Amino acid sequence: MNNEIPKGLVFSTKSPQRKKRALVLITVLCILQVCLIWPIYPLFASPTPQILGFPLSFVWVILILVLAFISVFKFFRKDIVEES
Amino acid sequence: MIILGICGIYLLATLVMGIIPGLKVSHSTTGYVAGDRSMNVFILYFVLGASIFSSFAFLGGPGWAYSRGAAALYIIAYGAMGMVPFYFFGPKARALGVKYGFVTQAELLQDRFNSKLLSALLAVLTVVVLIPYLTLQMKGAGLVLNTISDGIIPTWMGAGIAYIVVLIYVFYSGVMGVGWTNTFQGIFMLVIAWFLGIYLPEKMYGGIGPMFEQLINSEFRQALTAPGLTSSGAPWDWWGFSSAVIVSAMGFSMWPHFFMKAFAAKSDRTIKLTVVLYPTFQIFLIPILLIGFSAVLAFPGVTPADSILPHVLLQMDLPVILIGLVCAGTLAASMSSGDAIVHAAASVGVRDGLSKIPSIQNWMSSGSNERTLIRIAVIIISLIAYYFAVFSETDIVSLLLGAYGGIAQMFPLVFAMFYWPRANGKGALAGLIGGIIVTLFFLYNPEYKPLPMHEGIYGLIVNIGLLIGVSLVTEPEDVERIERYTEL
Repeated sequence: MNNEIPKGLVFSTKSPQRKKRALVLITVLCILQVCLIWPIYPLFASPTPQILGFPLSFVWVILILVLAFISVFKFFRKDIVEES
Repeated sequence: MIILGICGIYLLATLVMGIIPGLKVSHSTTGYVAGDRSMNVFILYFVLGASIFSSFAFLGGPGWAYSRGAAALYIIAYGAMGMVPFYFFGPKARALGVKYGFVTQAELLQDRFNSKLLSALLAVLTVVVLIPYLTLQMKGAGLVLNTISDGIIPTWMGAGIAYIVVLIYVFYSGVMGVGWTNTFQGIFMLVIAWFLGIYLPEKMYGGIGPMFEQLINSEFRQALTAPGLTSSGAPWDWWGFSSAVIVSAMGFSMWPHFFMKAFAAKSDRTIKLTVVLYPTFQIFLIPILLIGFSAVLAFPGVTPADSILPHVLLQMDLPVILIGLVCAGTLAASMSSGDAIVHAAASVGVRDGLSKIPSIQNWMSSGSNERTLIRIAVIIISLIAYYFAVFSETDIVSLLLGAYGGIAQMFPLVFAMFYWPRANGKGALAGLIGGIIVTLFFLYNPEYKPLPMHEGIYGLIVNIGLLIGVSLVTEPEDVERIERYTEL
């Protein structure tokens, strides 16, 4: 029985394209998450310059939030097309 | 009196909104706990948004911005990715719920890992972490009604009034009562937060830009430099900030009152679209933080920092109707989390805890006894939280801090449940128990931490190590069981 159960991680095998897209999404999101912690966020930690009135440290977090939203939204749209 | 009247109207409207959906759902446990799996995107979006944004967001968010500056951005930083795992876990959980009748995450884990002990352990963990969370919501509601009545309504009565309303609609309507009231409360909170977040900087400084310009040119500049300050006022280090973001992002979708909504969703698309739209709810935190920043120069030295919002409202000579609406908004924040929490804690406590006792299991299997028992649990859990909120001197905040680290320990198990077929019950139990023990140890003995990271990180390292190690040296679960969760 042991032989039938893989020892590594197993992701969906139904749609290889979706699997690939999911891996790309997760990679992008991991990069974006790193942008919000050390070592990337310290590069944008200063309150200056102000952008649209907000401190840079604030704008950087909002920018990453927007990029994360766009990434997941694009993945979702492809999902919907594939489902239909 | 006008302010109290507005809060009274708000409470009455919430009660009506909470009771009506109860007339439509079935009288089964699935109806009570999972709303007959009929929640659409609109309701699910507000349920998940409003359940997470609690008294902490409305009172604590401005408090953090006011006293800790850029550290408050941590709340947005973990929320940016925290919801994404739910995009993948949610539809899988929902499909299994429909097929096998699951309505809680512990039921899934128990089935996958073939361990009733794991289910009971998760039931205890859920109730233990949710009661302090509920207690804080009750304290927030009591504080609001006490403050706006100038002390005429004591805190115990304020908390009691707000949570009797919650108790009635959760008791009667179950999760659909939570759903409809959270939608109403969520819209209300969004409007109030945006209004205040724009209005206060405009009135005090002439706009958001001029406000930050003055803050940057003051001593507060250091606080606006990420990662801001600690609660003691010293600069927060990147170890602490980064690890807190990671632990919170991993724990975000693991909260039982959050994860369980996967079983209430109408379809996979409902769950996915809710995740996609969720950052729009995160944006709601921006005006919340602006409220706190606006008070830094205008009202220095206010303690505790969490009271900054009521303090600003009382000091600024604002129209009474506006103060009433803001207070009702704060009540909404407290109640919209409290209702989901009490519902989840009661459902999990009964379904995953009490139901494992054979004599109770037999009794529950007949008629609507299970639903009755969950309703009784709703009352008992509310009373326990009320006791802690009003009478006990126990340090609830430290309990809640520990709870976040504890909840994150579920993440490796849920991930392995769907994606690592070799994981088994012994590994899951060892990982969960080891992770919780280590998290609690470092929470109460921070001087032993090798690096100044969040204690949950240490718990996760031990958790993942034990899950992998113990699973690999013990027998795997049956193939048939694993295939229900992972496509082999």
